[in-house]
Amino acid sequence: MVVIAGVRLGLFAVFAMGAAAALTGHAAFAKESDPVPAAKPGYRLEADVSMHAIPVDVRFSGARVVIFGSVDYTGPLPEVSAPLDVVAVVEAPRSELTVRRKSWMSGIWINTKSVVFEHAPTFYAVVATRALEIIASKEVLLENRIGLEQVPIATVLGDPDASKPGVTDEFRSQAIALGMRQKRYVREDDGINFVGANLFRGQIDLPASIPLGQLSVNVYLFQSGKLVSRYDSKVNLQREGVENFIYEFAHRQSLLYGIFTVVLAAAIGVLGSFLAGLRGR
Amino acid sequence: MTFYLPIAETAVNIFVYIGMGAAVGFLSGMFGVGGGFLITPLLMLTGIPSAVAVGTGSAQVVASSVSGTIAQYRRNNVDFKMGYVLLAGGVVGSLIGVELVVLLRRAGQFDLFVSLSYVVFLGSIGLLMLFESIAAIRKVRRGTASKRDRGHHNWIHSLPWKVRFTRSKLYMSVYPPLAIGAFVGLLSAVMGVGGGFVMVPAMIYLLKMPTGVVIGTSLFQIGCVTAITTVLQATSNYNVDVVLALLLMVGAVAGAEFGASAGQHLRGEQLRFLLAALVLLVSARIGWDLIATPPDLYSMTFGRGR
Repeated sequence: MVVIAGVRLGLFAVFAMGAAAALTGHAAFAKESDPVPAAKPGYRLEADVSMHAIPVDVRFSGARVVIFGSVDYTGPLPEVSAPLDVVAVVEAPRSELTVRRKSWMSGIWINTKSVVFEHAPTFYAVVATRALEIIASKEVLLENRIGLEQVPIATVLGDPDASKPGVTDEFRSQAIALGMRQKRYVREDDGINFVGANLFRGQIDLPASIPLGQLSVNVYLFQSGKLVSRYDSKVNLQREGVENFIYEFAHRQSLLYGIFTVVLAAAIGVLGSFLAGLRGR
Repeated sequence: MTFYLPIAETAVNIFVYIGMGAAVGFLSGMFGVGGGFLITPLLMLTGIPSAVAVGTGSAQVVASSVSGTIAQYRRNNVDFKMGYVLLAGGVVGSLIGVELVVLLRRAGQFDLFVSLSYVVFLGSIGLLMLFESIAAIRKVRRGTASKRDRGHHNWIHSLPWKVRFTRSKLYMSVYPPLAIGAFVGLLSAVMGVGGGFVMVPAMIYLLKMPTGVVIGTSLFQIGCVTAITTVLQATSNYNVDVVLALLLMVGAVAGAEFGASAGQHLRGEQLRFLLAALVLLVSARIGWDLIATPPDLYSMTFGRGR
């Protein structure tokens, strides 16, 4: 155990250095997973992300979250072992989602049908060592809410368009397809790779348009279609510096912010006419 | 060089928006228009959320109409009395407009309404201006100077509550300018434009104001209404991005300089012809998106919509 831990620490350092977007090295070691009872033999997952706090400042143009960790075996190693699979899910807070469909109506395209989903993820990325369908059964994935198809985005009760059978499913699959094109929903079946026998590494790219706030990171270890161990963490996307100042100003003192913007615009307008005056227009 | 916009919440290349501001500033300097009808659709085309495009577009119009008003004021081309009446109507119109935006967004028809407004108003004004300018160019070629008849009074001049507008040399009811102001205020809030392209023809053809005073007075009213709209958008929709507005305005100030000197080489009717062509182009581009099969039939909106 001690030897394994030593090796892991060394490799952790390598991973932390390799993490392209890592700003603060110490964050990588911020949290170890919860201890499990040592007596029971079995696989245990230890993982972490490269950054727990991602600053969003004027230069923010997306970020890369590196997920890495190791798989330990407590107790005497079994003779034969089924292959291990790791799945990582990065998810932004859920929100109400309205999906609308355009139809050809008297010559122009108009939004006609709509279905409202409760608690749809505003960002959802799932990366794994293999295709999710091979790693575990639909039921197991659904139980752990892994995979976009398994995310239970229930329709709002009383939605007239959603009452017809098949409509909700159609709108859900279309929303997922659209979300994938917008890079809001991501699925990568070979996004996590094992380095050696028990170390793994994967990465998820967050687009610049990602909703800010807290992201949950869940890492799952599967063997023979069963969930063996899991690790949960959080990543915070927080506004900093000028970015934070303007956002807070606009939301907390919106009247003053509006007046400030108008005064700024008027000042630039006056400057413009002054410049024009210099040219003798 | 990318910049993360605090309100639009996305990363953009700043040179794209300074360049966009400069291009629109060039045209607004050349034609003497605010340029909101170009800025707002361009922002939407480049991926700025439509709400932020509308809110920020109105902030940009404030800057260009302030500098325009000062230039016109120097030439004594602003009828402040008429301006205040138009403004009173404009305030009411923009208050209604901001509420209308909320309602339309809830119904999921906001983008459609904005597109239709652009196509209908820009299309009809563009066509009118095109025919008028072609006729004017022909007249100039034939050597007959154009004279506008100011003797005919229409039904508008028979309305009550008459007031004397000295600078415009008019004695008329306040109701028509109030109504025009309200209508333009509504458009300003919904479309993120100043509304000069509607107000200028209305003032010339309906109120029969002298053309010189029309430009200055409409710029004065537009500056005030868009200032109010900007504050209303900031407080009720939180959709004014000051950083994006600043990028556009800096570009616009520089561009307007070149536009104004370029415009001096052209005659009035030639300018109107080019402006008409531009207005029709924007209208056609937006109209095309309404009739062409969209790349995505489905769209998704997060947040409490109802």
